[in-house]
Amino acid sequence: MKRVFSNRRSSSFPGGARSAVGAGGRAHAATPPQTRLGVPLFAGGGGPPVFGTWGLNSQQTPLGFTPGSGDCREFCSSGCLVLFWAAFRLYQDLLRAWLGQFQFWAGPCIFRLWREMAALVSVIRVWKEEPSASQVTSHNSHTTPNSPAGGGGGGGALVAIPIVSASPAAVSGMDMEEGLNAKRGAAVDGLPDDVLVEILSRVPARSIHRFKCVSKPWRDLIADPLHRKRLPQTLEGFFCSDGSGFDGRFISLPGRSAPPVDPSFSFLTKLPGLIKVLGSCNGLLLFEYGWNPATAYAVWNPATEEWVAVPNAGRPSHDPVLEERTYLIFDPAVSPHFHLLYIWQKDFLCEIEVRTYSSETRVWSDRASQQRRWQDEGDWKQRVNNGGAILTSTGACVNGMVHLIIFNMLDEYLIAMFDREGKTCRVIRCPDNCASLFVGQSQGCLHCVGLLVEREESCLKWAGLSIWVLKDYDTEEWVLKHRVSFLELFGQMSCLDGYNSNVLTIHPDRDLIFIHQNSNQKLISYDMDSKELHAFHTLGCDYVSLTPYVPSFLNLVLTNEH
Amino acid sequence: MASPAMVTLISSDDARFEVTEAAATMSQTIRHMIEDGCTDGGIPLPNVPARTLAKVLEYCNKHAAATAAESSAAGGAAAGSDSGSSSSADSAGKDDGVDLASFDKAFVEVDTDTLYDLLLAANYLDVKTLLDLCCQKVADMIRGKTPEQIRQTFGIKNDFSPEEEEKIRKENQWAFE
Repeated sequence: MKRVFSNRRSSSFPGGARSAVGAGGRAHAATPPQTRLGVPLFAGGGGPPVFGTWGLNSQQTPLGFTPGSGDCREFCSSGCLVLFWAAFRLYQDLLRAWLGQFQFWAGPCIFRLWREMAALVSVIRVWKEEPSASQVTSHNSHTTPNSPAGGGGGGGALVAIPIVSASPAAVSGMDMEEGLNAKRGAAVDGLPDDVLVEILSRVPARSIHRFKCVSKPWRDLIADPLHRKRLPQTLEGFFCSDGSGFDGRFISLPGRSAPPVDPSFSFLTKLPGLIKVLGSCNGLLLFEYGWNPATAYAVWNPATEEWVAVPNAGRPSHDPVLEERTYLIFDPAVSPHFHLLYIWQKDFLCEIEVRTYSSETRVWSDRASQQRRWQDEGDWKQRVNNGGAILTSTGACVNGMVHLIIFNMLDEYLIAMFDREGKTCRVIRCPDNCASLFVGQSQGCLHCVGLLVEREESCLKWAGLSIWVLKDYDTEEWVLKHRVSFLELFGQMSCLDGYNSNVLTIHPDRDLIFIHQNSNQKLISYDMDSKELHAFHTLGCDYVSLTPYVPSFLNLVLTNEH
Repeated sequence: MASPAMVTLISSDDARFEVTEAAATMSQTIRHMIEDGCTDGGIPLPNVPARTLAKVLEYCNKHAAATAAESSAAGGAAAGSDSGSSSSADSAGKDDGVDLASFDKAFVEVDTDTLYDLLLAANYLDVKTLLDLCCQKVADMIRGKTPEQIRQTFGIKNDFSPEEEEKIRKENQWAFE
């Protein structure tokens, strides 16, 4: 491809960044208050203000300003004025931020403050060095070099007040960008990094990892913690637990050099009792810890190493329980808060009950105690509770809803969907009524992996796996995506093949499924397009569970209070 | 002031554009200038040349008009009591949506230099939907490309030594498979 984005425009958008938005506008907008403030500040000063070093060393150094040795009162008054001015500007910025004028940068506030002070200091320095030049106009020439973008729009009004020409947003907008670029050259000349990140946030994770090779500025931009939050991530591997609980073991997918997280989790040492991984959702991991019945939960973001403890659901401990599961729901696109869904069945074919926890309210709610029983909603009652149902071990959080595979007494495999309030939003049939092993999301669609059943003489035999895509939630239209026999997967057929394998997950961006083969403890990936098999890890014999992990660099909203 | 309110925008090369306030205020930058009362004698946009500004305003005009039509249709539907009028308003709104989507699609079918100008102007003027549109277009262009193609696209010099590049490639082997 021809070189298309030329550099020629670096001059036409000098500051460029989102932070430079309103360069002209803010210059105008800011003029009146500055005029009022600026004039008395300097005109009324009566002579060269002398400026001390009060906590401003860092600002002065770049300008080569050396502290004056003037009289103390002047020093204090100018110091106060500067602080007052800085506070006023900060207030103004915060007000604007609040008004939504700039969406992304909190940084410019600080930077602007820096610049305001620097400009003031430079003005004062000029005063100090050239006492005769007490006319305000002469300072303009000293301050304008600091404001390549801001000087133009002002005209006469700006000439009179030196501080104005140095202060508007254009300057500070520049600073932010210049500051970043000084640290590492611009990734694309003339294009603000922020815009490039905006673009990169829309390409697949795979491309992003490839683009690290483009240049050093690209590599650094992609690795920058500030940007990482906004860039797409993909499946990195599996957290692995064994019989003695979770000890932080991580199995990376092939082709990756290092685990994405530090496996020596300091937080694990803070949790008493046995630590079990219950699941993961969009970068967060859910743990259960402690000894029965006094267990509790912890939600952890391995990428940011933050964690938060969550009490247990408060189910009466004397109640019998046949099956219980807890799911984590977290969808940063919808809410910065996570939710837990606790679901249990007292006995065989008993009603299934649900409690939910929200990290926003920090309490468990009990839908059963509410007036309207949650099972009555949707077609849950007729399709599940009439004949009774059994929870299977398969479930996942997809599109912000927990999808659970349930088997009812009408011989149906169903997928029940619960929202974060624990309401059943839908109950749909599994594809082809197959015994479903896995439900998950890939490439934006719900996928279901089921057992392929073949009839051999009068016997039914599990022959392989079928992978289905739900094209339309409303019509419950499943489309068969792929079939693969156990012969192809494991090189042999056995009547135990159905039990011999666990479908671990489906790759979120590719037609790739991950399978654990029980007999030899191998982890294999199977590419549906190329039909390639790849055994990439062999587990120890005491493995208990594998939890797929896609990092998220977003910070948890919550912290532990103590 | 006459209705609809008009504002004058001045490009970097001193071309003057008169547009409705509704269209101009799709730009948050301009909206703030107007709110701050800086419209006398036109609003200078020293970072946007006339060619690009004309294109941006084409987008803003179209979208502002569609928004106005939508809100009046919604108002009409709310006012109309019979189901007939509301359904026709609905379908009109739907048509607008389709129309707008195809307009957007065609709007960014431009050469890459123009797209780059639009991207920068949308960023500077803070027209969120246009910035999203341009970013998506560029993202579609670069997805799946090799690092070398990216360097060509953006005119970037490879500042890695062959060893350094090989190392990163190895660390991200899966992305190259």
